[in-house]
Amino acid sequence: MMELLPDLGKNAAYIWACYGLGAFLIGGAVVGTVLKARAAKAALKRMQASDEDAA
Amino acid sequence: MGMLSAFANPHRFLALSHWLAPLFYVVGAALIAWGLWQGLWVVPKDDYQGGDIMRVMFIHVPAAWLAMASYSAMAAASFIWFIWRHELADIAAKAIAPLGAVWTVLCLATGSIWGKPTWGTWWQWDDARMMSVLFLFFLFLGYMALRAAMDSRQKAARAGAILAMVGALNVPLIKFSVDMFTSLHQDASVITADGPKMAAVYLWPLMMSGLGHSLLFGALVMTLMRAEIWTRRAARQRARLLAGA
Repeated sequence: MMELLPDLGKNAAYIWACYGLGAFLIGGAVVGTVLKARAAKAALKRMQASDEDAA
Repeated sequence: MGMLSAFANPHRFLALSHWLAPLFYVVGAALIAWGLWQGLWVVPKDDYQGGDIMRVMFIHVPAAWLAMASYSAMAAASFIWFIWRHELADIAAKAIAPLGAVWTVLCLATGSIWGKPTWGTWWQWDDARMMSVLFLFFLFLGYMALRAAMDSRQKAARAGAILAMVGALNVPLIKFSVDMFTSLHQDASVITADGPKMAAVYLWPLMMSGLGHSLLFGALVMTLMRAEIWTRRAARQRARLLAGA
């Protein structure tokens, strides 16, 4: 497994920290955005269903 | 203006973004992955740029581009809302803010981590580049806080638009801060008047990574805009129901 990773020399910890942080922040933004969109769509569908029931 | 109005229709936007956003997600993620692979495994280390630590460039520089581009886009959308009152422009500005803040944090954090082994410090409080990017982050936060503090959508849009437009003055300050002031940060090496100063072996992966980040950012903005359109429709439906009850 370890041999698959590139040899980044003495600053490897700094480099991996940057890419790890990037994965965390961008991954978090993607997950948060998709969940928010799903929740908004579900709320609109519920509201439309209530509207139809009322009609 | 007629063309702008045509694209500013929420129905058309929902139809367009329905297929454009997934495409941007896939192509953006693929380009970022390719840039990551190039940056970590393929390109040779550059001893003139501190050896392997320059590999941070493939995430730090796209994050910096996106931080500035996203604020510019937010200010442009705010301007369009301010002049023509297109609801979609306000929705776009609102959607860009949290994502712009994420990419700005990424720029600040990766820059700080890169700075420690390169300059011997995580942060320099009197450095114009660092402080102007930090100020950009506070502008994004301030924009979101200001909108949240308003009691109506119209007031939120107006206050947010004014802040976004005034804050746009900070963007050229970031870009030219390394030329105008003393800074630890290196001079521009990609977007310069004389063209890129970087070797092609580094430039191509960097450009592709930048394009990937831009596409992913665009996909996320479209997704948040869709969410906001649905939220506003649900609110209008709720108001109609309450009025009819």
